[in-house]
Parts: sequence; C-alpha cells; structure tokens
Amino acid sequence: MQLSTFKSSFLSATLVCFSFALQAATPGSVSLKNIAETEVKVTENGVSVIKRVPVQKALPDAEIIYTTTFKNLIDKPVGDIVVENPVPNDSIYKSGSAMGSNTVISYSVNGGKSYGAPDTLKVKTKDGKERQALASEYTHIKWVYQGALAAGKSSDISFRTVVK
Amino acid sequence: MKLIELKIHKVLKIKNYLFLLAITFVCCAPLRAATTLAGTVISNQAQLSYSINNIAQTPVPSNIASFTVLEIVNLNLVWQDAGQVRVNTPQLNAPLAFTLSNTGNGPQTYNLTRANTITGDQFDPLNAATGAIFIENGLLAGFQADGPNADTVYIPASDSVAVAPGSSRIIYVVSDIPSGLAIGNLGHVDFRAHTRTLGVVGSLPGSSHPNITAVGQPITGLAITGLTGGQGSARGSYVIDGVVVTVKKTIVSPTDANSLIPGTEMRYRLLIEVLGIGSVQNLVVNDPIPAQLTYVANSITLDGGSRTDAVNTDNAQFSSNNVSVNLGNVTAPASYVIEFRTILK
Repeated sequence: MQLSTFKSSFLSATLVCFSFALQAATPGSVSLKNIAETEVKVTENGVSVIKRVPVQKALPDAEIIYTTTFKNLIDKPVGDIVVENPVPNDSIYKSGSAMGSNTVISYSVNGGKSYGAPDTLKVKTKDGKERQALASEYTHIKWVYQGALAAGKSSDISFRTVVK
Repeated sequence: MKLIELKIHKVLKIKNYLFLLAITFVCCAPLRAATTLAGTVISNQAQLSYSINNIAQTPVPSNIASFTVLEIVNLNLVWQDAGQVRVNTPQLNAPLAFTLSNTGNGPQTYNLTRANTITGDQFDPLNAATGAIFIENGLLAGFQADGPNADTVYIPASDSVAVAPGSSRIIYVVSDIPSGLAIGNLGHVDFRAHTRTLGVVGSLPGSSHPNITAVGQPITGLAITGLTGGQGSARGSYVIDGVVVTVKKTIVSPTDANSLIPGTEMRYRLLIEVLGIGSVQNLVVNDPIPAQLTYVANSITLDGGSRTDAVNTDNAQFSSNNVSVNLGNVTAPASYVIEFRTILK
C-alpha cells in the first residue's frame, strides 16, 4: 500500500515536472528559413532595376540583407513567437534596417544577454563612463511577434549589415 | 684695398638621414583596423522560440546562411620626405623614402620599379651603384646602405616585396647624384609599385580575376581590382644643395671721388648676400681699416640699426683697427647691409 502510494506520488511529480519543461517541438510544426542576399543593379527591358540575389561572395563594405522566414506548418495557431538573430561575424549592423511586420524589435549590446530599445542601450567607455550604444555596436536583434501566427501562415523579418 | 675677410664656418649640410630619422618608423606596421580578411566565411543563424496551446516548444534553429569575403586589391604609395631632398653634386647613395601600403584585405606581393628620366627637372638621378631600391629591414630606422643594419637591396628583375593586408613597408629609392650640377637644380624620380596578382594591373576597378599570384600560388576565391588598378606611383625629388655668400663694398659718400681731400668723411657700405639653398653657420664679416683712414667711433650700423664698438651684447665691434660684424647662423636667402664711416688722413 505504501509502495503503491509512493509510486503514485512519483508519477504525479514526474508529470508536473514535464508540464513545466519545454516540450519537444512537434516535428514540422514551424519552419525557419534564413537567407543572405545582396542587391545588384540589372537592366530589364531597358530599365535599370535593383534586384536581390543570394550572396555567395562579397567584398568588404558590401551591404548584406538577411531575411528569416517562419511558417506555421500545423493546423493550430502558434504563439509567443520570438526570433533572435546575432549580427554575423565581421559585420556591422546597419542602423534602422531591422524590419518585421507585426513585431516589436529590440537590440542587444551584450551578446544577447539582455535586450532593449535603442535609446536604452548603454555601453561603457574606456574611462568607465556610460554612453548610448551605437547601432554598429549591436550584437543581437530580437523580434517579438505580436499575437499568434495562424495555421498555414508565414511571416518574415529582416535586417542589413555591412561587411567590415 | 684689401678690406674684406670672410669667415664662413661649417656650411650646414642638411643630410638626408636627418629627414629619414624624422619619419615615423612604420615598417610592417598596421595601418588601421583591418577590414575583413579575404577568405573569411561570414555566417548567420537565427533561432525561433514559440508555443503551441501556451506550451513552450523547443526553439527551432534556422539553416546557416553564409558567404565568403573576396579579396579587394588596393595599394597606396606615398613619398615620405618632408620636401625636396637636399644633395651635393656629386653624392653617392642619396635616398628618397616611400611608404608602400597594402590597403586591400589580402596578402600581396609587389614589383617595384623606378624611372629617372622625367620631364620638368634639370638632371637625372642615377641608380645608386650599391642598389637602386632598398627595403627597410626594421633593424635601424632610416636608410642604411651598409654595415650590420644594412637595409635589403631590392633587385628589380627578380625580387618582390610582400606586404600583409593593412600593413606597410618603407622603401628607399637610392640614387647617385652626378657632378657639375648647379645649386637649386632639381632631379625627379618616379617610383612605382604594382601587384603580382595576375590580371589586376591596369584592369578596371571592380573587375574580377582568379586570385593567383605571379608565382602560381592559388588563393581562395577571386581578386577584385580596387580603385588604384593594382598599382601605385609617387614622385620624389632631389635638389642640389649649396650656399654662396657674396659681398659687395661701395663708398656711399662722398659720391665724387675727385673731391677726396684729407679730412673728408667717407661712408662705406657692405652688402652681404647669402644665396642658394641651405644655411651657413657663424658668418662673420671683418673689414680692416687701412692706414690712410681713421675709423669714426661707434659709426657701425647693421641694416640701419646702430651698433657700438665695444665687445658687448650687440653683434658688432671695432678693435685692432678692424670692423667686425657677427651675423651668426644664416639661412639662405638672406641679405644684410653694414655701414661705417672713416676720415681720410
């Protein structure tokens, strides 16, 4: 009897623990696709237009556009969507370039430990004083999607960098 | 009348090495915060967290988007001397200093050449017999033709100089200066550097080339021609140094030589001119008074200013029947007027 009670309690505790843990993502529930592109000027029908093309090679000072597309692949809405993206190595974030419809965008200057609006971000100078962070000092960007993403729907976020 | 004796001590020759010592020692020094090195892979991976039915799910990573940084071939060649390098005629091993900077983002090797026959100058510097081009070896700042710190001779037909991205090398173009040239004559040298990366030299900025050096070492990716077309040129100049001091003595009054009778006051003027390029040190003008004249006490003037005869703080004196004015160190061009008076005995 005592053993049975113990087993029952153990089972309950285990279930509680599972309920607080992250659930393994339902396979194929959300897709996340990332692409790096650059803009090139081409002539189409005698008209000069700017097109985005995937970038495989680039020079210093090149401007790169990163676009991340997320899609709800299941038949239920998906909520609490947050996308975090580091500013890539050897790159500088281009001020004001982060985009994403229906998102709140914040930035980090400490490797993603904390995020804030641009006017709240501070960095320490060599003499120990604080000053407002420059966009070129951002290390990470975060997009918080507002509301739920309906079944089958997708959205994308983007930002630009300059190769150092 | 034998009246004038000039003592010019130590014509100051401003030696080339003084200029070179003033050059910041930047052999192989980084120029700036380096741009991203050619061949660097830049990667980006996003992560998404979400919930289903308010239950947090395991975050999802994106694929990794990446690309490779290409090489941009750029260089900068600058003449470093503060001005025309002063030389004698003749002179051996006169250096001009240049800085060759790799302003691209990949390692580069360059070929160096010099041209001595340039329009617009008065003489052609000669390739120095000890070597026409030297590379600063970093042992001792400034050009060293020989000795334990001798810089490295560059052989144009076979050598190249390697410069890391964002770094620079000091290079000396070394000349022998012909004899018989006139003070102030100019001699130009055009110094050129061009990359050994095949196809880049002379190509249009932005054009791409297989990144292969002249010695056939393949480097990842393409090399892109920068704004300078893979080459640079800078002109340095020599000027023949030297100073000439001339003295012209005249009688200011009386103006009529036929009116000279005993008791006549005679005012003499010495015009001292320092001409050419450079300086003289301790320039002293001495004018002994002949026995037929009596010096008028305290009559010396320099550029209109009175001087005393005594040995004191002013720069003129009269002693032992000699007018003496110490002009000190004088940089050409300059001129002075000394006057004094005498009475004909």
